Amino acid sequence: MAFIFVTPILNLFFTFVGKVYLMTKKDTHPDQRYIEGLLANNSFIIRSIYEDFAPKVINYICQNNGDRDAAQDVIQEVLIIIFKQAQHKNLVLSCPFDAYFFLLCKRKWLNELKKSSGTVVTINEETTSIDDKTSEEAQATELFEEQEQLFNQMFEKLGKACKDLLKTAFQTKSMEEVAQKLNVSYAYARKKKSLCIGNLTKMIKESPMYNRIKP
Amino acid sequence: MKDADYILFEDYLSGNLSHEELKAFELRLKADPEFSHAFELYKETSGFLENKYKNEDELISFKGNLKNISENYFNKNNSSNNRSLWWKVAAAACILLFVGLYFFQQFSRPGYQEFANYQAISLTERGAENELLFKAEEAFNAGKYQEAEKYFEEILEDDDNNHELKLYRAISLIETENYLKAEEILDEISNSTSVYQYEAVWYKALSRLKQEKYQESAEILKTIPKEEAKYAEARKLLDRLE
Repeated sequence: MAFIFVTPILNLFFTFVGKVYLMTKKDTHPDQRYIEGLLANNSFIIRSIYEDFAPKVINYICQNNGDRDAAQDVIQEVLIIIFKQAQHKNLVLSCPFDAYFFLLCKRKWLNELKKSSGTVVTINEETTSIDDKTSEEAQATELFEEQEQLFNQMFEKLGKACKDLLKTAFQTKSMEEVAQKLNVSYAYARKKKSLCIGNLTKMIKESPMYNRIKP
Repeated sequence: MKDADYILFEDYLSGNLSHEELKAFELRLKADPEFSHAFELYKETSGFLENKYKNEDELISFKGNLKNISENYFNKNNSSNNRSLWWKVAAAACILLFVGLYFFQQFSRPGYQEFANYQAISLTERGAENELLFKAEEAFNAGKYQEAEKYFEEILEDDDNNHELKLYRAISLIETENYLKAEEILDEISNSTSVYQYEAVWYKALSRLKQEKYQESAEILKTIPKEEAKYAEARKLLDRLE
């Protein structure tokens, strides 16, 4: 007789567990496997991205003042930035990869058109609407790309001593090793590292681009 | 920010602050927004540099792999375009060939074999257990027309009015190129009021066709009236002959 009372309680319990599971899981799209495949440098996944999603991009670019070579470059750049973002920011995809990837390629191409020519270009706009999630994901990736560009530009502007020290500092496990490698004292190496990074943050903050892309 | 602040940031991030220093640092983060912003940016920048150099090798090998796959994909696609072009050319050639053959056949002279498509005959089931009839049937169906003709002749000696058998004998004679005898029999049938009257006319036309007397064949075909079963086939052959 006991099971008559136990069953509803068990049901409730499982419903609750299921809900919690869905709440934590709902944001990750099954297409996350593409992100993981890129991150793992999985040739099989990368090839399938080309096979399945490149034709649409090539078609779009060819119809909008571009050619196959341009499409090849755009696709490569977009995949590299997705890889970097996944490496750095633990990218979690909440929308289909197809739409996200196409949107990124499309916007990158439109930006290049804007940059390369002052002339008016005619764009065959897609009639399919882009949902908010895809748009958000693409924006996050674009923001990451701009931040990355700004960091790199400013890093290149640092003096050679700072660049060398930072490079060694982040490639080497401990600051003791860094000091040894650069033949300076441990205290100096630590101090120099923080000042060089501080200097870099100043330059980044002063850049006109910074306000747009503040992390 | 002062240099000391950056040193503090670094000590905090690398876990080099004492318990009291840590407490003071966290209090200041809450109280001083400028300090807090500067720290966030420092952390972000440090994180960026860490990613840039720590994962440099992975990025390099990813870029290399990506480049290969990309080159492969774009080249293969090009060559597959070429390949599909070849397929298109080959397909077009095939279509031309078939169209050519079709017209060639349409405008070329029709052949006897094309139109003389009689079914296998079945004579024995219709009653009398006639061994001769069975042999004739077998020979005819096997395409042994000379043999079949002899059997038909023999049977017809006793059964002079069997127009069906006469027709088969005539066909056997056409097959063995005894046209005179064949047409003699066919005329005999077509001059009667037999149900095989126009069958006979049809086979006479085929006899002329086999002899490559196309004009004569056509003239004979024209005598088949519209109502007759053979009319449609006769029309078809006539179209080709004219």
